[in-house]
Amino acid sequence: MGLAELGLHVWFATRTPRIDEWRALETAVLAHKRAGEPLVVAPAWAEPLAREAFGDRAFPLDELARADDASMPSLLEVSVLGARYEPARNFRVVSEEHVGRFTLRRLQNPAPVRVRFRFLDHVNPSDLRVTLTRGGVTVPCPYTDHALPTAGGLHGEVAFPRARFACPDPERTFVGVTVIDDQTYAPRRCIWAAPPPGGVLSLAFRAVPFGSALRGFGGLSYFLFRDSDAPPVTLALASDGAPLGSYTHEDASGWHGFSFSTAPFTGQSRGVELGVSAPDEAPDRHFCFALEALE
Amino acid sequence: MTGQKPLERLDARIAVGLGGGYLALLLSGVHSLGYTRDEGFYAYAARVLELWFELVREQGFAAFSRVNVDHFFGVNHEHPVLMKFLFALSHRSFHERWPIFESGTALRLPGMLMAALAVGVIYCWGRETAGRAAGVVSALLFAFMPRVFFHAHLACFDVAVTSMWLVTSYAYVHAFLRPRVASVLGAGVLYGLFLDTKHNAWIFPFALLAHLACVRIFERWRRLPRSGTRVPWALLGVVGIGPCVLFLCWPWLWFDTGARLLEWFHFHLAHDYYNMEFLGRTYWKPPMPRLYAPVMTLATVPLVTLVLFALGAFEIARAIRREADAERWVHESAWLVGLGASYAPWLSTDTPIFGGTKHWLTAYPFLCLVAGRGFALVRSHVAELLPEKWRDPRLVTSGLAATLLAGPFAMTLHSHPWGLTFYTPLVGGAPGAASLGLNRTFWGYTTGALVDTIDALAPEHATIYIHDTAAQSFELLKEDGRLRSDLSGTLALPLSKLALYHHEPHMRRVEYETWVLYGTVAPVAMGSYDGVPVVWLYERP
Repeated sequence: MGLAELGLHVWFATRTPRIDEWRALETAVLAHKRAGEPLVVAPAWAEPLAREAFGDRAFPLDELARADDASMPSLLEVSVLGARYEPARNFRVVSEEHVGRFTLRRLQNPAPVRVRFRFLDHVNPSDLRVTLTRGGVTVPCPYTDHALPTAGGLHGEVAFPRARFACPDPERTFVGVTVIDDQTYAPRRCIWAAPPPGGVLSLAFRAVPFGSALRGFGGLSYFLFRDSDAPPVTLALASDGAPLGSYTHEDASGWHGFSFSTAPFTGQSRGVELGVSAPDEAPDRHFCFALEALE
Repeated sequence: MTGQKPLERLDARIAVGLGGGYLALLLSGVHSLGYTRDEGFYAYAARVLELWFELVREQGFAAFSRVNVDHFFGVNHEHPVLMKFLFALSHRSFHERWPIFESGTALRLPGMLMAALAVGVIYCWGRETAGRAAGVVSALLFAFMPRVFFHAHLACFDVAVTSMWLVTSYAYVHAFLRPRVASVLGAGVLYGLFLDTKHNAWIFPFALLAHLACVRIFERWRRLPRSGTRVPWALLGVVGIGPCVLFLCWPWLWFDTGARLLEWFHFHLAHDYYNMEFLGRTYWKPPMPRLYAPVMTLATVPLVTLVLFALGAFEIARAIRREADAERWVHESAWLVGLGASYAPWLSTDTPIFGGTKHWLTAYPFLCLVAGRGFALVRSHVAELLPEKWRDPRLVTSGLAATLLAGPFAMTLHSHPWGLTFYTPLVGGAPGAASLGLNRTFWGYTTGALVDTIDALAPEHATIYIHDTAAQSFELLKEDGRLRSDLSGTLALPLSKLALYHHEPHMRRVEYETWVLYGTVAPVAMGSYDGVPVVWLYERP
């Protein structure tokens, strides 16, 4: 029995590819990789090895920290140890290739959600105008790509990016793209729009091609707010002044989805106005969201 | 009558040999092990005590004034001072005065000596109760528990308190059976030092009460004469002398004694909950999972050790029913009570689990002593199965011991310096544990695996984001020359040129902060164990 355990130990210790083998796979992976097709790794714990070996070209941040898989027509899976990427178990395997101890699979989404417009790709001064309204006074939040980037470490704020629409104060009142941790501590790229105390942060996107619905997700750092019972944040949506609905986000609900029908406006190019607010007595509200206009 | 055999001179030599060999093994690999968070804090406390030594030398009794005691013993006063005192003494002696060891190793030496002491004492106790071979096997099963091996390197208290529980129990059992003044005093003094090591010692008197009850119930049941004396002098010695020794040896308690004792109790009885991953879920507040201790034991202790333990427990249970050996039961009930008492706090779902297996390391010497019984049982049966000509007792014993110990030995050596990432084949090793969602690392010590890369990549006078590594632990790496002296550690990511990330699920947001600030998701270096990533490094483009 002692020797059997020793044999199993040796087997388990050597059966997983080492970093050199991952690096040797780079050419094959990049040859398969298509733009807009996220690379996924199974088992998930091996993903950092893949990121080191394949580099940023294989893992664009918008793909790595995507809102979910529903709007992805296909995924490229790198698998070891016979593992599968569990969130896409219902995807169809359209190709499979074995390279050393790896398996490369192309997974096709049987019913992808078709996206016309990702708001995350339009957080720039050409497509977006941001204002802050407080005490009846509205002030613009000008765009800058030279703000001082900050990060609070484990117990502090999420990363505040260099490029942002910066409101007068406080520091966290801005609109910019960052990454938060969801309820599984997975990354979610999103538009930071923390409402100031007693104010409304307004985002006005120009020329959004409307389809059947607007689909979104709201969230904030789960680690920071998993025990929070602070007042919720409300995201009100409108189009050229016509209300579309509102989403109220409770802190402990993690990364949470919502959608609104826009069927009456299908085929039109319209503005979208978003108002982010929290009750007056809530001094420290965070909020981050992702939004897509669906076909 | 009794089957216990008194130790001989040869046994003392074997005990010293086993302990010394273990110490040499620990020392041979210590340089490759980075410093844990807590080591950084204890090293700082030890440095402060070194300054107090100077004060004693210069000012004599004035060093014991309240002002000085508060100043020098106030640092890290949530833990008693014995091991920090030894860390300081060792550092001052073997690094400052005689530069035999690098700074960190000198600080770690007392912890390693405590581990070696445990190995020697396990041998002695196993030898007395189950014979020489069982004693050796018990000692080596303990030495070659991968998690024990990891903790045995550290300038921390966990292996030290494990050793103190064992040594005090050993002394107590002898004082219980033959209560002479010296043995009772010895047990009491040892308990005082045990209390001065770590708060696990609070449980010990309750364990002794349980032990006394076990012994007396057994004697009544089997109608045996009473072991020891009617008045349990050893127990009285422990509860009477122990606290006095603690008071004498921990100057922090000399002033505001009641308030400081209450503060000590409160700190540990109402300890903060830190995050710990278990079976894919991160726990940070009660209720904690009741399965944590048993599952983590199964996942980290070699299976052969656990099977021998199960056989030993079976053999002890059989002996309780069939044999009328009160003295044997005094010994073995001390093992079982020590084992049970060490695990007992984790029956409560309110007990924190953030330290992983280190919380119940105190159980493992007793687990191994019982396993030694199991070994004796297996040996006797194997001998019966062999043809007559192969029944040379030495051959059977050594062959069987080698076969059973090969796995633990190989796994333990292979686990270094990734002790907290190691898991046994029962859960598929480190890759299997990662798939099951068992914690891969904590305490930030794996920075030690990337020091060469950091030295190679960092620009001159660069600032390194150290993430979960304590600043004092980072400084120890520099002091040892493992990191360049011009580098600075920081917790301010925006100021850094390189950023470390030690993986725990709840800390992933720190990695995402690095992605946003550095503009890359690709680490430049990876510290991995058996193909499982543990710690990685980012470089600002």
